[in-house]
Amino acid sequence: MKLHKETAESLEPCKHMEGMLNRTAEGSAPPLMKWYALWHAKGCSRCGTFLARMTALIAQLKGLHGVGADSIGGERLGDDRWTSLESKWSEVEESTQTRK
Amino acid sequence: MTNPPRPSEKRSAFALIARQHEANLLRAAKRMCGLDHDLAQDLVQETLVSAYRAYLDGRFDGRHPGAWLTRILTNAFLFAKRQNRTLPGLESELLPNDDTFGVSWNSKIPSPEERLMQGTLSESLERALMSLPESQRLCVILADIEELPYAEIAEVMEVPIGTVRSRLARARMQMLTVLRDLQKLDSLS
Repeated sequence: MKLHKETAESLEPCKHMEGMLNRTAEGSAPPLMKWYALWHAKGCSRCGTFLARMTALIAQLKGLHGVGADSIGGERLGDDRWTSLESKWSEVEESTQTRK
Repeated sequence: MTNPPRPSEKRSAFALIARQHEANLLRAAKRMCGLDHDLAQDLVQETLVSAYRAYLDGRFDGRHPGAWLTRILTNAFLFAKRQNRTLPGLESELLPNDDTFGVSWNSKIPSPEERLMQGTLSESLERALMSLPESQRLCVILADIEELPYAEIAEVMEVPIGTVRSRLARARMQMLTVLRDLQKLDSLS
């Protein structure tokens, strides 16, 4: 098997390893797959770098749950939206009563 | 034997759920529709109306309300796309269906310090997320941020699990590239 030599810029892992590395990074790889991916990544700098970066990216994305950057902002519905919701909920209640 | 709750009690109980999950729903909606604030508010409002209907019909089993609402939100988003009500560019294979499902939900609210620490990192991540085509972005939002199981994502997007996996792989790869480029830009400035 030909392993990649050190290349500073490329993020591409070995083609046949991409799926296994992704599953290892997200923690869904079965034990044998994980063992093989880690073994390969140890000897292949590009796959090693890819695995480290992918693992970090997924962890960071998980960290976005419950938080948002400034660009996301606006974490509440406006008061007018809540007023409108209350009236729509009343309509839903009426239609539900009618159906019953 | 206890009496079933009256409609007003049901509404209060549902309003509590809605208030608890409002912020997360809005963030997810904004990420889905490319930071369009008004559209995100529309989507969340529609979500909470549909969800209340399902709630009164007894279609919510009381477990994992956050995940349940996220799925309804995703359906609302996909439906809006089908109606051409939103942004261009979503692949046409996305269609909703309607069922409840179970998944863990973390409603942790970060402290102001945590928000500050995460600010710069989050901003780059959000930019990288917004660089993705919509169907890939939706996969990342549902799988990596909202942590829904792949089977549920495949079901709501009406694609095979393998397609979810391949979209995720492509999306994450592109995000890595964008993040690297942003880092390079930062180091130049």
